[in-house]
Amino acid sequence: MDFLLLASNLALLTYIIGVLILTLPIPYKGLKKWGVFLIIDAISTMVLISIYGILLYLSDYILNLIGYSWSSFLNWLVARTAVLLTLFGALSYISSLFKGIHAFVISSPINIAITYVSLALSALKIIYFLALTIYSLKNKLMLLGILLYSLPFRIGKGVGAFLIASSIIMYVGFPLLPAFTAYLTPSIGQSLGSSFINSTKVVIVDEMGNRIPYPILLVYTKANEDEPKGVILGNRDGVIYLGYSKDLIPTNITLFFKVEFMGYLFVPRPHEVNTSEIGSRLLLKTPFLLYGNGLSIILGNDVIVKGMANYGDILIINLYTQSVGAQIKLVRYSNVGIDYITINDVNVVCDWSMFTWRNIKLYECTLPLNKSSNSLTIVFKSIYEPLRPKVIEKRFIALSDLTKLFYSYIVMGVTYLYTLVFLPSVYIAFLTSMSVALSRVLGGGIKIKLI
Amino acid sequence: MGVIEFIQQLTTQLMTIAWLLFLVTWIIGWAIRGSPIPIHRVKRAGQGLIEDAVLAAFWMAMGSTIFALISYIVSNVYQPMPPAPITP
Repeated sequence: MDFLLLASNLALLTYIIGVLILTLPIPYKGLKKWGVFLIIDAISTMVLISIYGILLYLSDYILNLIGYSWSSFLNWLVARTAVLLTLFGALSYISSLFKGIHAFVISSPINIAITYVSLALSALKIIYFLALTIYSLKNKLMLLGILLYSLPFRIGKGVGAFLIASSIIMYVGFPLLPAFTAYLTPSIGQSLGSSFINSTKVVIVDEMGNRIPYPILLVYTKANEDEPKGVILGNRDGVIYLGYSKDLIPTNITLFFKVEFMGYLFVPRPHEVNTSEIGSRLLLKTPFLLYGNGLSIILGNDVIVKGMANYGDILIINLYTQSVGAQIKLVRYSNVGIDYITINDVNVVCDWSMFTWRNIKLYECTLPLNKSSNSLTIVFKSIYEPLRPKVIEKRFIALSDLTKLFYSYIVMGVTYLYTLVFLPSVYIAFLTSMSVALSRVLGGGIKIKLI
Repeated sequence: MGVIEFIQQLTTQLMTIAWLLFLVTWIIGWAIRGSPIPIHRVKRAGQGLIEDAVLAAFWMAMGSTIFALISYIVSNVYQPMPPAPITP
């Protein structure tokens, strides 16, 4: 209350100065008028000092009367900040997904949305700062206003009146901001970053569960599509990393797979997979294919594998068929050398023919099988490393789904920009003009030109 | 010396000066009014000075009374208000 004492003393001083001017032996009307002004100012200051308690109480009273509170307003701010941060995180995540994909046409809208959201965040910060200033310093602002108001010769009258008025108006006005924006904000559908599967590890094995090296995974979105949407080369261990900032796969889409290996196209099991069912690991088994030591054995659909033993440079496979004239096809890399091949301990001669597949040379031959059991033994000259085919990869991006998502993100960004930047600015301008109006009532002649 | 003391001292000094000025103005006023100058405007100026001085002296005498009155009226008006309705 030291300030109030100071203010009342200043008011008295103003009064005395006013009287002093009146007593001056100078018969000049303009001067005498100032004396009267000062006396009136002193009296009005004294009135303001006396009703300081009422002024403090008034704003709380009005706020309760309207039915809003500061705690709910601060909660609203915190909730908005949380939503914005989530959105920001999701957008950054999506944007990071695009880092590996050089598609600027796709990534630039995301960046625009990120800019909008960060702008909204900083606007929210400013609102938060302003609101907290008003909330915690309301009494002090009002005291300061009264003190400035009480300064002689109307030095701080305008500013003082504005401070008093704005501490009342802003204190009542800020908690009403959520209500103001609520009516003017379109509802926002919240489909955030979870709409994409993170990443999955696809393991491709042959019929017996042996991993096949450098498989090429073809990804389709329709059952009978000619052009694959994705062409991805696996590694030496038959593993393909889907996602991992290279592919974008929506959560609810059915993918159709085919596996290309050593010049042949296989339909794996499972052939179609819904992305919502994919975990962190997906096993694709290619039936009718056996692989070992640089040689793949392609079976007809009437041949059943009873067992397979791989001793490095010797392969022993038990095959069973019921049909007469069943065949298998052997495909080897050009560097693979075979000592001999026996079926049921009978030496067979294979007529190898060369073909080129994806820049690597392959040899293939066809072997006839006996009816019922066949014990196929292949003896290699050495142990061989698989060759790596040359593939122009095409990472999988589900564009049709993406555009929808981008659209929603940008709409969301713009909406937040509108709600948290544009509307609050309008509202604060509105509050300021109201404060100016009230300060006029209190006797300040401050003029603020908004435009 | 604090600001408040300074202001109070200043107020007292100014008040003394104001009383002195009142006397001076009053005397000057009467002197002009009573001077043997047969110009009506001069006499009116003297009359004006006297009026202003008396008015100022009146307000000066009433000063503390006015301030006390304001405090009294406001403290009477400022009854504790009914508690504001609490929103559910």
